[in-house]
Amino acid sequence: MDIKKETINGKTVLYLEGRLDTSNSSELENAVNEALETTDDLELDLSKLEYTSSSGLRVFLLTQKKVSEKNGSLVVSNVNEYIMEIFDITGFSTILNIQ
Amino acid sequence: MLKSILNEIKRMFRKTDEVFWHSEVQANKLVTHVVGLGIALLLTTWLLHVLDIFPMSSTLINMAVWVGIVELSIPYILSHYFKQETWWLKLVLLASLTLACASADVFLSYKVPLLMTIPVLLSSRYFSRSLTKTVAFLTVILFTLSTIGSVRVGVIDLNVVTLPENTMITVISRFLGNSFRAIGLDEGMLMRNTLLYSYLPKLLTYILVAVISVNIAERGRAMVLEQAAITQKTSRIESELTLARDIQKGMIPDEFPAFPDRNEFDLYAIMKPAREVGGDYYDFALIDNSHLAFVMADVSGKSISASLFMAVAKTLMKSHAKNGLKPSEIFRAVNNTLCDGNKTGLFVTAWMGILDLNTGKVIYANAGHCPPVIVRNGEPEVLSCKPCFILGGMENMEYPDFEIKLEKGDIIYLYTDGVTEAENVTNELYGTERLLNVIRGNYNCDMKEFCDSIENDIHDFEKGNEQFDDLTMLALRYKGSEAQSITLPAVVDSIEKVTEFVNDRLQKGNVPQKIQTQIDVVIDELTSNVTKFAYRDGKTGDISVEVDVNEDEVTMTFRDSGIPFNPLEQADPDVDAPLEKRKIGGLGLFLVRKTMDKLNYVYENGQNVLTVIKKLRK
Repeated sequence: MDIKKETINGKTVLYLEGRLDTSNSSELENAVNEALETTDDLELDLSKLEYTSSSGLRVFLLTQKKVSEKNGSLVVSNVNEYIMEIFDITGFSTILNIQ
Repeated sequence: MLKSILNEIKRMFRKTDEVFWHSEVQANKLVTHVVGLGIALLLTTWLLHVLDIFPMSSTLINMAVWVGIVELSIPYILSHYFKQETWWLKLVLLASLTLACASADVFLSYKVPLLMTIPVLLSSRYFSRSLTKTVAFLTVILFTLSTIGSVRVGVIDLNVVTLPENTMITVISRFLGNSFRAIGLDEGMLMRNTLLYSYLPKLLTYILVAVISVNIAERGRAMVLEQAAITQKTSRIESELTLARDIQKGMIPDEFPAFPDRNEFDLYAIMKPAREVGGDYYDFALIDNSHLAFVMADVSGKSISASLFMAVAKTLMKSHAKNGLKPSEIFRAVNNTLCDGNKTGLFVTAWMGILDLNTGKVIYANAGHCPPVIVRNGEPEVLSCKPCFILGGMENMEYPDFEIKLEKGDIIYLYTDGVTEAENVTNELYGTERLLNVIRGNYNCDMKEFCDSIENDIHDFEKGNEQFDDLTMLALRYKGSEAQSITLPAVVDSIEKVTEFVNDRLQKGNVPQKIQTQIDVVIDELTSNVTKFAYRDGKTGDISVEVDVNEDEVTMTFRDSGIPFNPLEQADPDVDAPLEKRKIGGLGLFLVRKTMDKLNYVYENGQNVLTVIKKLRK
């Protein structure tokens, strides 16, 4: 998985590309933690993310919890059909701000 | 009458039709031979005369022989010069021959009455009425002239001479003719009597011979034309047959290796019809990514009728097989279609198998065909099963499916009775024993060499005997599919390798992308669980994953020797809980349960065995 970072007007966007699974979910976790040190306004762009396993879900959940504690904002955007299905099945679509 | 004769003569002076050309050259050869013989005959006559065995007037013999030799030599030389192959040669040959016969007749008259029939008889060999009539006309003219000439210079037939009353004959000369001329007989009487008593009867005979010859020529002409028509018809049929053979060959897959990118099997087949086209055929096709259908069939009868029937049967079988039916269902359907409107009584015997390339399992049905040979560990064995009725014989017949599992390296060899019933010169049959023997000697070869060696053995056996029946065979070696399971140490790095391994099989099985993605997630969840939780307290161990893909479902079996853990007993996470109450664990197994269709867990032989099934068809 590749992660690209972009910061516009204090808002950080992380572009995720590839497959998010056990082997690389910690990379995302580190990238998110690093981003949250400088901003409360985070966007995860999933347009190029093929799939996510529960390890990825775990990172999404942790990120959402951290942002909520800081009263920040997390947007998950451009979710593909398959990942959307996983979000639906696991109830993540109710706790994430998906755009 | 004269006008019609002239017309006939005119017809002579043009080139011969192509149809008659070959025959004309042959006729020219015959006439040239006769001319050559004539020369030899004249020389012999002369020799006999010189030796005094043939007593006659030297003047007459010399005249007859040398004039004749000159007249015959010219056409003889011409004929050899042109190698009998020029259209006007027949005219020269026959005219010269007639002239030579007539000149012999002048000198030897009544001694050679048959000579004048020769040209007419020979002319009939040209199968041309005009030519024979022309030669007959020429014969009559020259014969008339030769008769007149013979009265003056030739030998005299004493039977036509009226001697004066009380003539006393005392032989003083060796040649009576000279004596009679010496006594001054009445020339007019001699001429009149010769014409009346010798010329007229001979003329009538010649005319009769001419009429017969004209008839022979006409009949011969008709026969040549009929023959030409038959030849034309035959060559048309032959070219049609050649075309039919090409079409038939085109219907049969005959490019080998047929599936260069498939290494689960080696397949080769031979089809050698006894005639241009045959009723035997083999066929094979991959009906999906993991199933190979193959068939061997033999239509009753041979040649065109059988090949037409074969084309229908082949097309039907292939289209049914492509629809994913079992051999029993295919045969049932093909049988009913073939029966419908089958008035000829032709039928097909067939053996069809569908090989599962992943498992080696062959489902087969046999419609009255000779059973194939299975070669296992080098030992061939006839795969007998209760054969069912032939195809195309009776409607609504049942053809049950049988099953055999091929092990890696096993060969299945299909053939038609052209193999076992090949005959040698002493009418002995090739037979199953010989077949099994040659198989024993060659089972290690690749399938092309295997088939070739059987074919060569049959040809050696048949030596000197014409191939009587179609010779068709198909050999298939099952090499087994590639590894279906993978065993790796239970560490995080192994997850990617397992995923790759499974994905490779899913791709070969044309599993839809979405399902592949779901399965990838499942692999990630299950293998990561094993790497994290199965081996504790410093212990290490393996994880093994087995995968089986068929057209209905994907089955994966995960095994580990870690602590017993039943993932199915874990409670579902609460997916409706608010964010702050959300737990991190349990989601992976939950996803597996949600996206897969069937899960089964057992703990056996010290192993956790989790089977996961995903259906490909709903």
